[in-house]
Amino acid sequence: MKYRHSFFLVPALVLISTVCTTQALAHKVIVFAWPEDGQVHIEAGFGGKRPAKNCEITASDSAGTPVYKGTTDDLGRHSFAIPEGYASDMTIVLKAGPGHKGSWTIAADEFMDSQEPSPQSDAPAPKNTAPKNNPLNQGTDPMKIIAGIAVIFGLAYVARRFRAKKNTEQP
Amino acid sequence: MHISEGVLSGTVLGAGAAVAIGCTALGLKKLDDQKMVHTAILASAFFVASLIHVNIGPVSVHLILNGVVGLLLGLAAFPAILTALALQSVFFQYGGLTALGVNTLIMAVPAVAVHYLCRPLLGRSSQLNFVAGFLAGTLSIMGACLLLGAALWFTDEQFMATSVAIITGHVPVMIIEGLITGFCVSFLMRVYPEILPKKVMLT
Repeated sequence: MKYRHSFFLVPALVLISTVCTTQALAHKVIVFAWPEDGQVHIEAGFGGKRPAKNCEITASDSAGTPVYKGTTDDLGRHSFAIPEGYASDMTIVLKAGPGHKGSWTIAADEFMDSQEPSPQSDAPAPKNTAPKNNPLNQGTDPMKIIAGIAVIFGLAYVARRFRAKKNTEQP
Repeated sequence: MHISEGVLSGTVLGAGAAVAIGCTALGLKKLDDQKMVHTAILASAFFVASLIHVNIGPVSVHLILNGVVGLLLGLAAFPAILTALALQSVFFQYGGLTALGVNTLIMAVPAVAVHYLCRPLLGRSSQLNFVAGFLAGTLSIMGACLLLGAALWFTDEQFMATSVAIITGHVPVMIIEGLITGFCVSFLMRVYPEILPKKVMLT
């Protein structure tokens, strides 16, 4: 009976977190970029349909040399023309305030089909064109929350057993 | 509040990890066997708190709950917060494993500080229980903001400007955390005083 409230608190925590986090990821900067029609399209946010607005973007090649700098719009989007003849991996880094940074790397082979320059270079990314694997559309898995809590209690159990064993071994 | 991977210099990350390991070892040493379940409960609360968003007008903030963890656990907050942050990093990619030490210090040092600052207020009256909880929730966030600013300052940013920007952005969180921690502490003092530090279990 000593821990009777524990059995109430833990399921309550899981329930609250799963209900409140259907599409919400706290302050994790998510950047997604893909090449299409001669442009690199970028979407960035914090999860839960909260875009990373007016954040600084830097695109660098595989050697780390910046090839483009820009800023996201109010929807957390930005597009720019792929530099002519570009043929290496491209890493997009987004700075979203103090201590918050996210990145996404586009593999060189993804540019193969996207090198044709578009007449609308530097235009904002059209809506709903992001590939389906866009991490911004992925919600929090409730199983991960449950697994995390299980790991915490597992560690506490192991620690308690370990200490109990240590105490019994001492004279 | 979680510092992302690749933001801090290697020196800051290394120093943060070393200090966090030392503090965690100390916390484990001080951790009472009888409080292991309580520690796990509070670590779980901290683990899920960052996933709970509160919308205040155009601002969306998330809970942290390091104040209540520190107030109730004291030095044992170090292993509790380290474990929760490690799991957040692995499961949800918050922060990152390389920044785990620094993030642990940012969250746990103010938590332990409010334990020693606010614990004397507990157990005197229900009003003071709430005040102690409110102060613990508010001050722990403010302390975390200052440590975050300091960590960034050691890397390359200006301390004052960065800290002011961080604190300003977290004012809603401070108020909400203060209220939640105040209500939590008041509630726990009434229904489950065993979870509170032994010195204040007077009633």
